[in-house]
Amino acid sequence: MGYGIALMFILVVLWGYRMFSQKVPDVVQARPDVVIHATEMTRDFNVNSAEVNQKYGNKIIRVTGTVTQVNQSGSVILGSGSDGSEIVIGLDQRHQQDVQKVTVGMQAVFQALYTGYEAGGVDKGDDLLSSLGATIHLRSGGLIKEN
Amino acid sequence: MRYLKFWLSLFILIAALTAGAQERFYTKTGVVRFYSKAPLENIEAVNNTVTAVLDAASGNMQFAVQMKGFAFEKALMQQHFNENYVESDKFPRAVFKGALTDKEAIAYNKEGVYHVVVKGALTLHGVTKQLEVPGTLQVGSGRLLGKATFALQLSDYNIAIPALVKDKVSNTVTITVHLDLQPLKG
Repeated sequence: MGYGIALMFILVVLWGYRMFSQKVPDVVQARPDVVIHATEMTRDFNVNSAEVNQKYGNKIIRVTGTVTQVNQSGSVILGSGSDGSEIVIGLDQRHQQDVQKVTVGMQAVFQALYTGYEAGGVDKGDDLLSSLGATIHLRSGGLIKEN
Repeated sequence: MRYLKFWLSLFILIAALTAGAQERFYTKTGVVRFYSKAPLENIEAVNNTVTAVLDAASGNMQFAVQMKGFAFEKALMQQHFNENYVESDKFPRAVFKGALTDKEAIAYNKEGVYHVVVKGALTLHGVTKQLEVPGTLQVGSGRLLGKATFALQLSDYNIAIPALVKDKVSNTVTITVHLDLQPLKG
């Protein structure tokens, strides 16, 4: 009886430790919830950002687009074309070296987790952020394919 | 004719000197880190998709941080941060709106490191508090590099630490901001 309780206690402690120390799953290795082109994604946001925000909430997105900026701090920007909207992808620590594999102007496919958006709009003077255009944010990303 | 040349030259000189101050500088890939020293384990996260804009003429500055954009190493920490602490579904963004206290001290056309103070309001977890943060602004190669480190009290923003871990998680978090700002065209 005493051994049983001790064994159960050990198992609970091991389970707790495993839960506590478990690393964040690698989004790049997971199956994507949404496969989309950057142009289509930004167009969706420009039509109805609140609704699309709900749709993409906590989803793993595989997005194809043209690289417009590469930052050594571990992020990449995909442009959508003429409307100035952009998709900003923060790379996972495990995929930081992917910034070395892409250059500006290149078509690339990234996979990352959707985290939110900044709405663009008419520059209202006191709202500096709105002057930047719509920005879609993804994190924990990595490169799937470069062309 | 000589007077015309003089005034024309003066106009061009003034225009050239003030050109830097007409611009807005921005980034969409700013980095915000937070660090909290705790007896059980230090808590650390980074967000490298921070949006920020600085208007050189007015000295006004704004930045927005998506709370779900913070990446942790441990899955449980990430979950607790979003669900129990900052409630990121309910309060998805933190926004700072403020201004440089001494915008005249920065020569945007002269390379160098300038010590600045940014004063404004930070809205986090639905609570807005005034904040005054010292930092540096480095002017060089047509870009600005902004850096600042400051401490926040979680209780100031109604972020409650669950009673079970109250003595294991610090109420004070250190925030480090790193913004590589480029000129905003158009």
